[in-house]
Amino acid sequence: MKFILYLSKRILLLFIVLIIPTAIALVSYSIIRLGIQPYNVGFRSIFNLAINQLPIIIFISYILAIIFSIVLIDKTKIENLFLLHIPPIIITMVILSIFTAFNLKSRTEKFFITSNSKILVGIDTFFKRGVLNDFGNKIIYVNFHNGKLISFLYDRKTDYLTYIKKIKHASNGLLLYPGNKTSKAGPIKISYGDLHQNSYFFKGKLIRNYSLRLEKLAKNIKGLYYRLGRYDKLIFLSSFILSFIIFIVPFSFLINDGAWGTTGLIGVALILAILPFFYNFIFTMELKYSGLFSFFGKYSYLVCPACFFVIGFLMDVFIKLFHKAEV
Amino acid sequence: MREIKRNTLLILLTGIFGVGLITFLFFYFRINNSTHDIFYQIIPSLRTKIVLYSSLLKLFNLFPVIIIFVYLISFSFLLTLGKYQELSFHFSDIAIPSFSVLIILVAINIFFHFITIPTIYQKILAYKYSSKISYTAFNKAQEFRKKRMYNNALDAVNIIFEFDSSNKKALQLYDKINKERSTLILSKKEKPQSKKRELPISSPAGFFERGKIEYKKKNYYAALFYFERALKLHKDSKELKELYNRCLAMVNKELGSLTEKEIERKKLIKTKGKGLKYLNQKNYYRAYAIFYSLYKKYPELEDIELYMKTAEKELKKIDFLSSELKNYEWFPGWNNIIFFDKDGYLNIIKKIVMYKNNYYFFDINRYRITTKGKRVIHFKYGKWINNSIRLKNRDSYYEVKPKEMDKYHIKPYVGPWYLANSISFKDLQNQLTVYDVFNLSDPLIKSGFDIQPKFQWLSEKLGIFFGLYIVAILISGFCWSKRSIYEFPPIFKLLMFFIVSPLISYYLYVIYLDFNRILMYTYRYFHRFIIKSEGFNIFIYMLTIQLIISIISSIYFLSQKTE
Repeated sequence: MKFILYLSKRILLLFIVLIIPTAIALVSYSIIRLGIQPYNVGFRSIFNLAINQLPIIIFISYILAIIFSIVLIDKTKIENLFLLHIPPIIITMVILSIFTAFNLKSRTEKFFITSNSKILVGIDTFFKRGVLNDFGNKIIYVNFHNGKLISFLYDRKTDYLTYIKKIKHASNGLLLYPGNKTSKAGPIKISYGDLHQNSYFFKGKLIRNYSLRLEKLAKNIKGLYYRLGRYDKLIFLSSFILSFIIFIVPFSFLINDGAWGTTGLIGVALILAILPFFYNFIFTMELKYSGLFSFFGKYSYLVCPACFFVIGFLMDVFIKLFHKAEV
Repeated sequence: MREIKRNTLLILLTGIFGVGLITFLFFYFRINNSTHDIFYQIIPSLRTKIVLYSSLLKLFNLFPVIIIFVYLISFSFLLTLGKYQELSFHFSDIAIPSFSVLIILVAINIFFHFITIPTIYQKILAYKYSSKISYTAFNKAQEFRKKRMYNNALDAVNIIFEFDSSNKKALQLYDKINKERSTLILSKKEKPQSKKRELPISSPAGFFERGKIEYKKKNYYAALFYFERALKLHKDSKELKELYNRCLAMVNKELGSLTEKEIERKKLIKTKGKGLKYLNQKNYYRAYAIFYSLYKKYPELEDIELYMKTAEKELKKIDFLSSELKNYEWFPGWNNIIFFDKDGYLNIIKKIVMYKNNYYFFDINRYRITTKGKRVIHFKYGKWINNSIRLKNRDSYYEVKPKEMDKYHIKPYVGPWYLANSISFKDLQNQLTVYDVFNLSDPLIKSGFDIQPKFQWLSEKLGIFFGLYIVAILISGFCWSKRSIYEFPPIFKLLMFFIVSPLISYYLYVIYLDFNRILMYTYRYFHRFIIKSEGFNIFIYMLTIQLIISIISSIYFLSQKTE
């Protein structure tokens, strides 16, 4: 009991401490990945962004808190391996109850969306002035002459040049208004995703690859989550979190236990590096072969959590059998 | 101790050469297996060249990783064995040679990145284009053959011979076409084509001799042409003058008997004189127009034809005929190129074709970019002549008035090769050597191409050079401090270490490059809030930081001891 309380307290403290750096990292990430220079963004925009991303910030710091606590714990204090699972479950319950109490439920819909609609930035954020900005097949030129906008969009695919009268912000993108009055078509919408300009930072291969992995994972989970009905969503979310705990605890313990000769912070780095790849793999397999698991019936979305549950459980048994002496 | 130094050098250099060779072979076989484009079917030698150069490119790009890997292995394992464990051994015995070698390797790496890699990149692009042309030419030749357009088919096959004169496929096709063509001629009893008069090669000494020959053959018109040319060079020669007069008399006589109209004869002489005057004044447009009209009227007068061809030859240096471009219309090229020129027009070119160092442009639209933009003019054809693109719609030579020069000429900031390759700004950037970057980055940016300004480019390269130096030296120092000199490591552990260390070297290098980019990113804040002077540009900022880090890491490395 003492151990459970000790570990729970440790996870909770770490969780609270980690919220701020996670928020900073995540907000900076979502700003920089759009090619937005952070000094172009006002404080209010940053705050709005952080609020919008609150669920994902909480989720990430929660994961980090669990991993850090278990990887860095002194293993001589562990009396029983199965007891390790209980503190994370307690913390999860606490967090989820706070979630419901503060009516953050409505925000869970945006759980995996990085909403940028409230960032207010200038044109320079997306375009270099006086240069043909190449976004795949679309080339956009923006410049100012005596305070007047000179801009055009050239589509390489259709070989068509459109003059742009003005540029406005819309939700998750820009609206380019054609200057030609005879043109019956309305404004051309270009999403922020298409306007992705390589900033220095995200030219970095390693960071870019990793963030792409994470985005793919978020997409996978989102894809599964939004297909479900209201109650199924609840079941999916809770089983998913539970399976995550079942899986991550022995996994972190194995790293701590010196199974591969890695300890401490290197272990955390290793887990963080492997995790998205591992989850992506399971999700891809699940999407590919979901038809084979007919015994789940209409609860087929539980295949993925079940996989992690099984893997976690097997790891538990493995540790119990082969690392008994050390425990 | 000399032996130890020599051994150290031997280990490092052999290691780098060996690992480099393995890396090259690995990439060669990998790229060789993965390069399967239909364009390479016709000339396989081009494919081999592309594979070879691509593997070299990979090798040179990974050169820093190879060095880091060799240093990592050497300082953690190879340089800790045997003689390196003697009591008389000092760290400086290996530190000095390895440090010197590293400096030389960094210099080699600088050379690679400044000159070799961009040159290879450009070559690969050129080879890819050549293989595209040869593939299209082969298909086109077959198409012409099916349509029984044998002359065109042979022309298309000849294009392949430009790149590979002994190409088997092309030779076979050539023979087939020739065979079919000869059978067709025999069956139809086709009239032989009228022999075209070739323009004589202009050797001034030969004019007189050629004139004499033509005179003896009683080709008085041709003889007149040669004598007139020769007279321009040797005005005092009596023999020449006499022959010229005689020839002129013969021509007049023949002309008189031909036309029997004195007025017309006079008119012809007068017009010809006018044409010659323009030719002497180097007004080739007018000279050509006169001789062309005379040639149409008197096709039998050989001197007129020869004068017309002389004028045309000169005209081709400053102008072109759109019929010339029709031969290249089916060529593969670079599509939908967009750029700004020196006159401030925005130009959109549907296709650019390169062949035999000539550049041809098809469907050119020019726009004047203002707040109320609108299309100014459209041209069907263009050719790169005298540092500009000469534009044309009609199939004739015509002189552009000085007022309209900017209308009929596009004057780009850069050469046609760079315009064509602007289809991908990445390709454009990668093929610039250090010399090009300093000369061309501003003109390229003025053309509207989104490439890195020179100092930014240099700062990124600094990351590569210092990355190699700092990572190699830090990891060597670290490995040396953690080495085990008392026992030979277990084989399994050693094997694992050999498997993991290339990855470690690669990722450490990549992380350093990322770190360099983050540092470059911080320059904007530094420039905005701390030092606002324009003189303190990004290159100096990065150089200062990199130098500080490299000095610290050098001190760390050189301060290692022998225990």
